[in-house]
Amino acid sequence: MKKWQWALVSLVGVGMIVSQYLDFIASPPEAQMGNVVRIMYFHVASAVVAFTAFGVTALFGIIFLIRKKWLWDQIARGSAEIGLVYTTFVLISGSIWGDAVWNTWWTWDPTLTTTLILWFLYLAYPLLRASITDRERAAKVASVFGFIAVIDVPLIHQSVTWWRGIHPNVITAQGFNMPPSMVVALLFSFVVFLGLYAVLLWINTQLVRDRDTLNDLREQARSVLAKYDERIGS
Amino acid sequence: MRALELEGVVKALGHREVLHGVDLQLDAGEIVWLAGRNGSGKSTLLKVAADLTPVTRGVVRWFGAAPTAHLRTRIGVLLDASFLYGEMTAEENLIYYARLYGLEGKQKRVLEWLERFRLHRDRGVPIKTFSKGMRQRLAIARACLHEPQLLLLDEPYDGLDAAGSQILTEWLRTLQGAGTGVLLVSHAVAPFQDLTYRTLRLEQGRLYGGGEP
Amino acid sequence: MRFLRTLFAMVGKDLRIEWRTRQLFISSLSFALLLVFLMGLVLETGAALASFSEAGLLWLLIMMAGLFSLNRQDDKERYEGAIYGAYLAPVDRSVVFYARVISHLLFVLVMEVILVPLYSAVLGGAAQVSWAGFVLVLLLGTIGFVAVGAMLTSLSLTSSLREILMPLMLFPLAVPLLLGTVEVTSATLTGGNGAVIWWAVIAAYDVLFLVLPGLLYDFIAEV
Repeated sequence: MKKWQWALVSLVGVGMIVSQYLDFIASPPEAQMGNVVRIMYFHVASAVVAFTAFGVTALFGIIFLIRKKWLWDQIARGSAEIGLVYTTFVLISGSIWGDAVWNTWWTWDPTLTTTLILWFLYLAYPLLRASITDRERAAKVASVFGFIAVIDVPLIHQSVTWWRGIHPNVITAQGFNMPPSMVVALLFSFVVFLGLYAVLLWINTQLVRDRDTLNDLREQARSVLAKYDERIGS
Repeated sequence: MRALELEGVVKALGHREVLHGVDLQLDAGEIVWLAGRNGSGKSTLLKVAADLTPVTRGVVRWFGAAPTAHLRTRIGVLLDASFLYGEMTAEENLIYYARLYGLEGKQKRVLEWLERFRLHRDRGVPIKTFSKGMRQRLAIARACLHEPQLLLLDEPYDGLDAAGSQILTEWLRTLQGAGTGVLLVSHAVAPFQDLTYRTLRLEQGRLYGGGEP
Repeated sequence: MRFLRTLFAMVGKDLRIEWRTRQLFISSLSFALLLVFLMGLVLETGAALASFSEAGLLWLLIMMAGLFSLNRQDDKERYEGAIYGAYLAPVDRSVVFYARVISHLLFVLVMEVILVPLYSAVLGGAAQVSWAGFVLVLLLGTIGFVAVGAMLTSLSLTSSLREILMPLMLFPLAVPLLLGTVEVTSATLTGGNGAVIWWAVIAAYDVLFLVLPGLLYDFIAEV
């Protein structure tokens, strides 16, 4: 690893610790929800990462389609995996929050519903890739799918919002005013989580690339062996 | 005129590079026999030349220009799959392709082709009942229907009986006279050895000129 | 001109083959009718459904039966590689996508003609239906559904998990369409015409999935 890479990783590491301090000690419990509010720092920041990750997947998928360089596809792939993990975090932390605050594990909150749909879509993404043997075709197909999925997200979110708006909403999120220390903690967790995402993306892209290289080498070894067999045979 | 030109064509399939920089020129009225072992990349080369799959690197030119949708009227392609519909009759299949190419006088032309390949008696039968040889004849008719000036054929003699082979060879001779460039992949040379042709060998994704195998 | 001519040739070919065998149509329709019967069984017929549930079940039914045919209808293209023959046609390759949309659309619409009346007879409780709105939403909803479906069949053409991946990709993507059509259908079943925003959602969805795949098709149209 290069120097600046160490610096980035250390920075994110320190940031995570500071963020824990802000989330658990420096910020106050909320008037009605008490300490449950601290889930929010994790939940919302995870959601930011998840949506960013899928945006990155769609963007680099399109760049790959136009430029045909494997690196772009590897970034898209790496990002999609991280996105799926963070979407899962969002859903789980959202459920815990919902149980504590609204006394229900699941609510048809528009953003939560959109996240669940997104989770399904990005569950299909790696399956689609893995079930197509031709690597180039798999990459192209996945890029198109990732792009379409992300384009569809605003429409999904908007329609779910209107849908909830028209139907009686049994559970409403009570609004609350945040004191400055909570705002700071929340914003800081955004920054740190995005930093963590950047580090993870960088590492995961390398992993994905190594997997590709390994497959290339296997393929090469196989063809060298085939040539060798041919010589022995003749 | 050059009917087909490949320049430094590299094609990777998945993790495997199948073609490593292929250069090929095919003139109008020329027949090139593309020889090579199984798995040497012949079929991939044909697909690339037909613009059915994009090159990883390199250039493909038809009649001196980059492949476009419009230029596809001038090329004919036969791959290992026949591209035919089993539920439709021989006649319907050809008429469908005639429509795709926007041909005039479809009915007459289709009948001519069916007669040329001795399929006119079975023209009303769904082709899923056809034997391999009959299907192959129809597939060749399908590839040649619009009288292309560049013909890419993958194992056209496969499954043909003596009569069928003879018809095809005669047709290739006619085409050659009319100035059509033909790139022909075949494991055997016997069926068309009377024609004037040039040999290219594909070995491990590289192209070598001349010489009998 | 050439585009349209090719489009018609492809649709004509699909209809001819479908008409000749009719197996797919009959089995899809039987499946849908069976579902209607089962729904009637578990929902206790006689007790009329609320209009929203009635509309929701109807659309799920249409989409499930449609999915069945989307999954199978392209088998004929894969057999003997016929779809690649279509890629040789001297027009933009997106014609294959649009031909597929039209063929699927006709297929599903004909199925609806039989399915919807039977469904209303078994499960319908609507007294005053505004017919114009109902028919229009049925048409627009089906267009959106087959458009996204045709796109996804092209994507999953060479996937070995195709049959299970199709619903996994299709239904999440179709959520806006499903909500829109169910809202509007539900309104038309009680004599209304549905809110403008829902018509807008359906229209936006239709346009999006008719235009976008056409633009992206070249990337995935290859052997």
